[in-house]
Amino acid sequence: MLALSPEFESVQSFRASAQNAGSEFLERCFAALSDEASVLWDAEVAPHLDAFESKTAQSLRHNMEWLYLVRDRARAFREKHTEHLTDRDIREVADFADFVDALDLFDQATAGFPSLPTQLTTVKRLRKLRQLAVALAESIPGCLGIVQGSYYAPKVAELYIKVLGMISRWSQVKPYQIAPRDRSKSRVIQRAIADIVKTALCAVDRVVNSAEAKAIRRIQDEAPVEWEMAYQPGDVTNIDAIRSRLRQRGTGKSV
Amino acid sequence: VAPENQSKFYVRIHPAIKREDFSNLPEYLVDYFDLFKALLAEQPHCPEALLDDEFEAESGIKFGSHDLDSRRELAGHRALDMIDLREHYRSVDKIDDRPDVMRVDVYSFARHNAAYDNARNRSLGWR
Repeated sequence: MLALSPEFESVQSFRASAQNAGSEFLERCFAALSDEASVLWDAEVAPHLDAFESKTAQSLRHNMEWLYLVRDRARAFREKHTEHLTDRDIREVADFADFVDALDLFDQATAGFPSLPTQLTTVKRLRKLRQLAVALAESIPGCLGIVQGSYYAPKVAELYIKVLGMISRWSQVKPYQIAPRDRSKSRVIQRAIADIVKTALCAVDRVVNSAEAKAIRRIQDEAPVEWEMAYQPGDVTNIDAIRSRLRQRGTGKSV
Repeated sequence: VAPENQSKFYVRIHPAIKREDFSNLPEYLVDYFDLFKALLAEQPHCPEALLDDEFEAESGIKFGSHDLDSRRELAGHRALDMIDLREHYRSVDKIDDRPDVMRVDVYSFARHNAAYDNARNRSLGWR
């Protein structure tokens, strides 16, 4: 028999933790905004964020609804108040919106999991598993492509790795659990599932660990830039003095 | 309105300019950076207007500035041009002239292509 419930619950809790990571991000983004924008953010987005937090323990479907709401609010906020945001803030809101889109695609790709009936024969369950593996593998380029290079790419990749691992474990059925007449069929399906899972894991690894993706994440993880203040309004610029100093030094060029 | 020879803007310098860009520039050009900062502080939209032909003739450097292509990734940024004999140099900055901000952020100072690449990396987080 293929055990479904405990594994499936662990996927749900894993998804919930990924979504919590999303709300942590919004907190960081919120902290990075200027004071004026913070007030606006407080009025427009924060109430929905609070509601989202209180719902995280509930079903994934419900969480997704709240995530869509927060994403749409964040996008609308960004478009309305662009002038208050730094380039980095704008990019972070875009990354978060992409993350929610990626979770949506992942959710669609794994929608078949709860409907895997336990009363199916082992071969039929294996066939169903193969279908799920194919659907999951096909969703990788679209889903991970959206978040490629962002702070969220490893989080979405972890979801894939977790679910692919589950498919792999579920497909490892012992021969004595299969009716003798189905054993050769099931071996073929098991091999196909193993191939799909292996290829999918390679694809996940390629997207997440590409040099480009790592480089982009490295920049995002960097500490905020500590600008050097050269002038403030009202400071004396002394352009004439600088010019005469340069003149005295000569061009300094080698002939 | 601030009198002449007074800064009208905040001028902020990206820390990587001194850390990375200066080491790849001729020493005499590094000396000119103080001048560029002062020009940007007073008149960032047309800094070369504060320099006369005599100064250009003495230094042997031709100065100019232009907005960067609005269809490309550095839209909204400006470049301060320096042409020294055959070599082209650029300093890329972004001006925020809203009355309550009035700030110029200088992102790079390097040879032509490197200046744009560095500004893109530092301003937009590309690599």
